[in-house]
Amino acid sequence: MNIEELLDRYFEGETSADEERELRRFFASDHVPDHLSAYRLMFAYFDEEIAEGKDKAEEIWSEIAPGVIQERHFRLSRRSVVYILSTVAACVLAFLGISQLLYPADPCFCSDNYVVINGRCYTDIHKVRSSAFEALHEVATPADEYFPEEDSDAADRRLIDNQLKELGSIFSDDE
Amino acid sequence: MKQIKYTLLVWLAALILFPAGAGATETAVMQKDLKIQDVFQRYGRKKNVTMVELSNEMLETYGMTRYKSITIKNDPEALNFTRQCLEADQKGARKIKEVTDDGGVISAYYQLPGKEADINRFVLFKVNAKGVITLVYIEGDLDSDDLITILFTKKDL
Repeated sequence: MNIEELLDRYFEGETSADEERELRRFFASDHVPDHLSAYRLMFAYFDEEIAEGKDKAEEIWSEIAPGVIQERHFRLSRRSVVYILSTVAACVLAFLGISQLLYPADPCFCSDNYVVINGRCYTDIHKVRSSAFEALHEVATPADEYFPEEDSDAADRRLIDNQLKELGSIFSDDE
Repeated sequence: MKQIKYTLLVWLAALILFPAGAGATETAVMQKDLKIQDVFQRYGRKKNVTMVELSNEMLETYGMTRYKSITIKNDPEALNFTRQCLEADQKGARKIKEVTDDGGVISAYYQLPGKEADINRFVLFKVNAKGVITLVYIEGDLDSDDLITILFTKKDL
């Protein structure tokens, strides 16, 4: 199609996107006839605008109906939120998975009082109490082993008492 | 701008969640600055081992906030390991009473300072003639006299 016919159709608003691209390419080339050189600047401007990423339609829409554009923006944001939330959910799951791996769940974690016997966990309070008491009873060795200072006096007293008894018996024998 | 807001919210959520997770694991590790915790962790779920943990209202009447004990039968390796742990924890102890036999500790009593001024921590250890190891950890506002009363009163907890 002739470039002038294409130009006419462009001004009539009948050109397709491909045809408009062809027009822009033509006016960007060095083969533009003199009588059409006036349009060169116009198409150069459009090219520049496209390169800058400006959406003319969006600009027009924002002037005509700003709400429509806002809605479009909101839709995009909602999508981002979904992505972000999915990422967060994945991170939380990964964190829980890793912590589970590093710190395996305690079968008795739900209970403050428990006893583990041969690897099996029991939360029966009587069993727990008796097991605790057994351990406590076991470590409760005689006081002179744990508290020699306190009991050294008692031991000394016992020794003195024994010696006094012996002495007393000697005296009684003499009598 | 909205994205920045959401990003901030995400970070906030992460910051809230992370300490919660970390806290959960921290609760499981009670006396984490003590080496004896390794004895509970390493042998607590093995065969011939009895591990007890008590806390909260069950211990209130005794002035304790936490009680943990482990009894290990027929495990010489565990005895060596426990002795090593006791040796490490002994360094931070306020009071130490030990009975040794043939160079090895056979019974021990350590009183350690708690995180708060009025809180005491006690480590009790004994290995009997049959080689049964008993290790007890007690935490609370009780003092050594209270502990002696508990130890030598043949009364259930």
